[in-house]
Amino acid sequence: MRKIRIGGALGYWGDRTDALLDLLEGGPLDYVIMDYLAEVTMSILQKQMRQNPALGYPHDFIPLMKRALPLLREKRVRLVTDAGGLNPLGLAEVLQSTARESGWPDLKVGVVYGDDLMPRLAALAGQGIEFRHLDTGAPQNDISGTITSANAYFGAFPVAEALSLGADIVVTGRVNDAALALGPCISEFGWRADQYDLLARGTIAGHLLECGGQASGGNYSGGWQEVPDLDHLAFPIGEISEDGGLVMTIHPGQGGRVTPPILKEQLLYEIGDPAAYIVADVVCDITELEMQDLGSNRVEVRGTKGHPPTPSYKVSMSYEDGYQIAVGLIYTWPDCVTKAKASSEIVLKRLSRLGIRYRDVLVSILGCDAVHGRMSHELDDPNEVYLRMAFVVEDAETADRISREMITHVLCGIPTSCLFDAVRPSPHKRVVFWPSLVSKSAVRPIVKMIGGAK
Amino acid sequence: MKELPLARIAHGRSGDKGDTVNCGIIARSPEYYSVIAAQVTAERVKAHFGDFCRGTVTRYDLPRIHALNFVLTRSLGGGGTASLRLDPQGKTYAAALMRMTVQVPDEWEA
Repeated sequence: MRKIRIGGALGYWGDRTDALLDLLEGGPLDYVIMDYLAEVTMSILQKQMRQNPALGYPHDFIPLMKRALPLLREKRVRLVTDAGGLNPLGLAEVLQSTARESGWPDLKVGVVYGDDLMPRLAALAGQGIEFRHLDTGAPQNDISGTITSANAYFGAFPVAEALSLGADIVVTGRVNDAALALGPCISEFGWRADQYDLLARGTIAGHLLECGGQASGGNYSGGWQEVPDLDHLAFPIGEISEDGGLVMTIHPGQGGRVTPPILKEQLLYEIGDPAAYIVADVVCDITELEMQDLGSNRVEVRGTKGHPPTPSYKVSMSYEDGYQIAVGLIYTWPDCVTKAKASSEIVLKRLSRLGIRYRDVLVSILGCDAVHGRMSHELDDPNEVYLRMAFVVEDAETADRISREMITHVLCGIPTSCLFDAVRPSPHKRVVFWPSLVSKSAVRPIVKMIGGAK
Repeated sequence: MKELPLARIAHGRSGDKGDTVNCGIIARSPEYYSVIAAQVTAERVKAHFGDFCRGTVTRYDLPRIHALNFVLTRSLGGGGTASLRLDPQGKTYAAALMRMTVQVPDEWEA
């Protein structure tokens, strides 16, 4: 039975980059996937692209590729990544010239794009597509004018097409995270669009790989003390066979672990109904999924079923609405919690006296109840706490006034406070996420090959 | 029977989709599953999260892997970069759920 080994080298933009090199150097591998795009990433990229139209993709991808390209070439490992972000064609060009400089002039890059709906929003609206909010049902014209990004989540077939056309590296815009792994399966094994069980198994493999170290012992609540060498955490590998069989593992000689409980945490991560985990190509049912520990950091995953896909692509939009600022002060023993609470009331009174208006405020006390709110348990007499006050305001100037007011309380307010940082916090634009759907007949993925032997 | 925090017999991970958070809860041993399934109901989870959960709680059961998945809507203060919360992506919500208490047989060494 034919089998491929796919490594999951990145969980999000900002994740550990040496994991890619460890995956490539640590043992045999056929493919490696890197998932850069979280829900908020597109709006960050949009902001960057406004300042520099040549960007629109994670700026640290190319420096990483300078280190990884020789290894990818030597080990004959193909990379599939959504690092293209808002500008996959632009990234592919830069990747090509980087490859030329590193002695790989005939690198073939497959580009998957067409997911960016921003240029077509008006046209799509003209076709009667309302982009209603998936959760609230509100129509998108409630927010029109402030939208900063709008991307459809494509599936794995365009990724597979690029690989079948000989791509050494596939760069995509927005695709389902798991499509990065399902694409190689479709291309290698010839899985068809109506082989739902197989597509679902490849999707679950991708789901287990897409968050990198979370499938090999990172962020593990079931017994983190039993995970060795988190400083050298091995990133996960899926061994997928032609019939959709899956064994999750890691390279030997690195840190981390692969056990059923570790994989169960990742399996359930960011899912809704386990009988209907929806991606573009298939609806996955994991209610009968089982795991078997084969020992030596190998776990077999079986029982995933698939059903026909829905007629829509998921769309993620974001829009800007006001500014956010979080300010605060440290209060120390004695009576630090009482002092912090009293201080927050005085700060709000001051803002009112100064005529500084805000739309929303959240007061929380770190060391006390800041993260879990009223679920937190009572504390006796902490040594210090941090008073955090987070505001939504209309404009950056108001945010700055709040930031300036806060520091006056070190000398003018309740005693025994000090600043958390020498630098005053600065405001940032508030970006709101708007999930939606678009009919598959209204948008179409495009596959383009760049480079290769002349 | 004795009372324990859920953390002693289960572990879990949470994550976000917009303003929705899900908590995957896994029994530390297969024998614990039926107790967890009987006591950690959607209603109790909704009450446990209190003002953190402004929407609904739906529970999905995965008995084959001795796990439950809870989906909490309108629970991240707007979610992502729109929320004022310190944990706008709900990364620690599963840990917050682990604070809930459960009644277990005295002989369990959990």
